[in-house]
Amino acid sequence: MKDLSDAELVHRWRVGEQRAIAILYDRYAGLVYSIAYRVLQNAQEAEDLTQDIFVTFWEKDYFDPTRGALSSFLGVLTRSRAIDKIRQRNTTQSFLARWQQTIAEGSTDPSPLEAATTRETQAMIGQAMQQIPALQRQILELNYYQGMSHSQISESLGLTSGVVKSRLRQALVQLKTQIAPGQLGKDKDS
Amino acid sequence: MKHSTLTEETKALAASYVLDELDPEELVVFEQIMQTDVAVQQEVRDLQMVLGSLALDVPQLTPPAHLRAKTLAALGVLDDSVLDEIEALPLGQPQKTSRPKIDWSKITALFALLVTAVLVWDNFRLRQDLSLAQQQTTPNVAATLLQRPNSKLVSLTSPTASEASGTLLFTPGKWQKVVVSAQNLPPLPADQVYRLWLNLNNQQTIYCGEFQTNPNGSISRPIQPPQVPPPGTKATGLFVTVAQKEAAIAPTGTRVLSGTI
Repeated sequence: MKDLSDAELVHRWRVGEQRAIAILYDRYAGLVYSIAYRVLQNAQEAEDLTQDIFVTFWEKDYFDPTRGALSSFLGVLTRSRAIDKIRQRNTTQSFLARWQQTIAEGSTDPSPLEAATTRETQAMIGQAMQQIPALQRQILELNYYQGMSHSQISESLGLTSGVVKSRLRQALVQLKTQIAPGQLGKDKDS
Repeated sequence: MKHSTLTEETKALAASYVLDELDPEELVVFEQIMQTDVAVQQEVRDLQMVLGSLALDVPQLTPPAHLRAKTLAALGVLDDSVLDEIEALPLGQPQKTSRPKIDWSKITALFALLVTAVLVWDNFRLRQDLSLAQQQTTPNVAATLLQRPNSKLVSLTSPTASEASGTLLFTPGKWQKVVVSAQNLPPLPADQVYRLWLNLNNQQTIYCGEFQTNPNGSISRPIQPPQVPPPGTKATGLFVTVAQKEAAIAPTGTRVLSGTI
């Protein structure tokens, strides 16, 4: 069973095969823990969050394995929950609502980025991050991984809040541009 | 639905939307645009995928070893060794259990005799109930469950007064294998399933598995629920719903059978 795809494991777990969720844990616990630790910078909190993510994944059943990669879903869910803990607010519901609205409901076939393996995605995104301007990358990292607000970033870097906001937006758009053409959904204009 | 060429302003708005940085008024306007423009939807989806992938760009760490057992226990998933044991269990054979050493003192012997008499009677009653309630069964698993003195047979009836009925045979505390039987259920199309749910006394409802009937609307087979009730909780009832096979696992479908434990 260890060689089965994520989608097949999710299906088997839903029809009652307990071992499937154990295999999914073995496959993704490292990723979830790594993201949790990166954001929270605390081993105990990262451990608690890792457990929480898998329990949420089981209980809430938001994930549709036919739409999007499980690694991305767990990654964003973990990051959102970790940021919630830092900011003491709940953005996770907002994330899940948007995920369902645009990724799940609005999608057709998975894009190459969605269909890529976790390692392939990590390589793609790692390379793209190195291609964007250093200031944009720094602002994106402070916001994304450390959950810092615009005002916190502007204070930390000595920039105005407006500059931080625009650089953050540009960083995301640039990142999308840097990812090889064809890795995202097809542009219907082309 | 239109498909416009995106302006830089729209791209910036899409990025702000994905970053959750639009103010409430901007959000309303942008979501209206998004609903009617395929190109905007695609842009948002691409940006979300990029943002989602960013989460993977972290140094890989190994979680502490004890976290696996802790997490799986929180999920109600049995340990690998127990799962191995269950899978290896010959369903047609009585489960081997270690018997306590018998104390041959007179008092204990009398007590044992009384307990045995009660258990034999209870076992007999369960077998009678089962044979009456089921037109066909999975005899080996049912027999295995019936070897357990505290096994229970719960009647399932239709809340809509249809002729559908059923039973669930299980052993409290050993939720990893149950036998569901039903008759007179409407046979479902291939894309639909019946789903079995367990109500707990903490208001939680847990998913137990899914099944389809034969063309006559009957079913009798063992089910291995993926989750066991958390420690300290007590099962209070059961129900069966109809759901689309690919639908999310949620106890929201039409209830066709229910029972009280």
